[in-house]
Amino acid sequence: MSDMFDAKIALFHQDVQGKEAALKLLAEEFMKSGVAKETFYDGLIAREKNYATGLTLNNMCVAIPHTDPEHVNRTQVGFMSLKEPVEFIEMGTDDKKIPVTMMFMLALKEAHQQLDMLMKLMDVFQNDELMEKFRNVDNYEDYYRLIEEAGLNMEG
Amino acid sequence: MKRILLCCATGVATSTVVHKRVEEELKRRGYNGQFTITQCKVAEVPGQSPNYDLCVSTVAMDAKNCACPIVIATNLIINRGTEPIYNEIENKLFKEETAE
Repeated sequence: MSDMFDAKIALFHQDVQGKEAALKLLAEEFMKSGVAKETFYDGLIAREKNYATGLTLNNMCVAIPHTDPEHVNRTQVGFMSLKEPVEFIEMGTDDKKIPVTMMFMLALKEAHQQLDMLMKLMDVFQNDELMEKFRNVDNYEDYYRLIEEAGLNMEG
Repeated sequence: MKRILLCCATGVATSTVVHKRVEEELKRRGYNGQFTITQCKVAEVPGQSPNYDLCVSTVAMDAKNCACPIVIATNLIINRGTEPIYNEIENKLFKEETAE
């Protein structure tokens, strides 16, 4: 099956300290699997420093770390939930710190190709019930069931 | 024809989402066929902006790097508190005389 989740990059309830460690842990999964290039993590960090990716939702804060397509081999979405929140800067601000408990890391190859999935993902962010389930899920099978429930498992 | 420059940090992610939303809302408000939208990276804005009527950005941006009016549209990403942003875009694009 080929969708934007087929590399099975998902980590649950991780115990990490700080944004860099959190980004690194998940980015390494992208690099190990060949979804992203060796430069992916550095690209994420550089981007996060200049333009943060934290988003404040109704009941929680999430981040959607991503970087330039040149660091990416193919389009995929990875997920990580955190035991304790880490501080991200909110997107659209220079300095507003928000406590992020989940990351949806995006490896994006080009514009438009992934539009439908991104639009769906933003709808999911507005669905408090579904977000609560993502917060609680602790294994890949249940996680992928949520992806299907959310309608995110579309062709990459 | 009004020209909108839509930017985000990478030019492929949040600007793609906001592109779609702005396009649909402006059509809904009756401006179909009266505008074009081009996506770019925020780093390209200083060079590109002289050719545009409005820059819509999903990330914070310094106005002095942009030659046209700016609307910061981060909230459009997750579709929250969108009305004031759409109003600002409509006003700056179709209702205000461009002050030089």
